Amino acid sequence: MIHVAVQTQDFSVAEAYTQLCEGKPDVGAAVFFVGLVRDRNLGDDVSQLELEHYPGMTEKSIEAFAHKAHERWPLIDIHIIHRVGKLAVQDQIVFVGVTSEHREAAFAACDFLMDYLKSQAPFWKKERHRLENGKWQERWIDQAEKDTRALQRWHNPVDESGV
Amino acid sequence: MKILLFARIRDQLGIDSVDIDKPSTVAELRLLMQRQFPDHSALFEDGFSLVAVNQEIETTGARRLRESDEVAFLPPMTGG
Repeated sequence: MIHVAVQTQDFSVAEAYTQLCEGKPDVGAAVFFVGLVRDRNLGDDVSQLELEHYPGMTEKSIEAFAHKAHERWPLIDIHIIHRVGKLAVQDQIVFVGVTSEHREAAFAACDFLMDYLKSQAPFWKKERHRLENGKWQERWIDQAEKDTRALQRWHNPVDESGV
Repeated sequence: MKILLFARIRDQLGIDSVDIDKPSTVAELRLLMQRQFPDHSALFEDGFSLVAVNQEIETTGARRLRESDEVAFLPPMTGG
């Protein structure tokens, strides 16, 4: 089963983990990743992030990629929560949880889904940071080449679909 | 037709949507937007922004547009 939520409110990792595992006797492996707002980016202090999405398109796009992960690996459930709006340092941004019978599939699918979320999902990140003169400035973050490259490693010659 | 604008594109233009005469294709839409916003024409170039038609990324400039389509300009994704 695929569960996708894009929301402003915080989430409970414990609750998401329970939803993934409770009453599912076939689950032998649960892998999850939590992304947090860190206090530095590109050498600047960051005090606040703002994440924007395209309501409707963002959810559909994440679901489509979750389906690709389901087709590629023998998974049981995928649970993705992505926050939008204003976030402060240390806030949770994203939860990706994957369950399977054996750990290899869950590890790989979780890694793949994060690479996708970082580079292809319709989210835009704006940062507030402090300049050397003490003033605050807002800036939209540019696409990181590292994130685009990370997704490319999931391409392989036997699968031309891009996954 | 109404064209939706997101993130950096919306901020730089100061508007979240714009009404334009319906172009026949995605490529023509890019040209119309560049003409309408000459100071921000780089935002509408193929190498920068993405065009979503009915909430799906459209990579073919020749894609024909219909009046009922939901069309949006998106900057490169930077989320997660």
